[in-house]
Amino acid sequence: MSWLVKLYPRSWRKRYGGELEVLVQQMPGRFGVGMDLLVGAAIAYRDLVRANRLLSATGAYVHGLCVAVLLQAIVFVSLIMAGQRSSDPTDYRLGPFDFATFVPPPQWVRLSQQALRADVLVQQVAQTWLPELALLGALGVLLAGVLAAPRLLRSLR
Amino acid sequence: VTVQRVTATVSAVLLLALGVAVAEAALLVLVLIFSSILRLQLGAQVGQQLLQLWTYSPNTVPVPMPSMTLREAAIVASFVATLACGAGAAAWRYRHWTPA
Repeated sequence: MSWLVKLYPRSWRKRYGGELEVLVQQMPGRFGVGMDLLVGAAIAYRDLVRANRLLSATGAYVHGLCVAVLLQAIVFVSLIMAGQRSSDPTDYRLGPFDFATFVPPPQWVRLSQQALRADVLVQQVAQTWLPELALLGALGVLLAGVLAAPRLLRSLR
Repeated sequence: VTVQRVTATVSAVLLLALGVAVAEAALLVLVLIFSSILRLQLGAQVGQQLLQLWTYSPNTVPVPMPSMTLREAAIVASFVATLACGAGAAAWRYRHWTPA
């Protein structure tokens, strides 16, 4: 279990690493001890980053990138859902800029799928939208987690 | 001092570019996975080039899939939005930073 001490920042290990290793070797190798060491390493890095202005800004940059990626993934799935509402090709444009085109499958495919599937409308709608809704839900949970992460890290003691 | 400033600026720009590149690569992976899950034919049009991705499963009858083609403007907007989001968050933190 003492190998987890290597996860701590180097400056922290120089000061307290020896003492912590001795302490960990005396303790039983339990899951809880490992978790404590992991949380401790996260806190040590948080303090290191917060103490430095540039590192703090770099952390915020990475956080902003993560949020941007998740938001764009949500927009992508939403555009697909919006396009599926129409049987005609949908152009997504803003002024002179053409961003994307969604083309639904031909009508005969839709009709044959309707014939193959259960003819209950509710079930059909649920089947069509279920993957998109599941993806949107997963992305929403992920985005909430990423947005809450800094506050969660700040609250660690 | 001037050399140090130039080096610091170049390093910062490289870091910004690397961050955006990694983020866009992650977004591309997400979009590819989603296209596979949603059985979507994905295309990206850059200039006269059109890159298309099909999902093919050998045991099923090939059926025309819905397709989504992303144009140049979407790709550029994605890069700009990612950079703006990251740089905005970094600038805000830099200005409002207080020693802990």
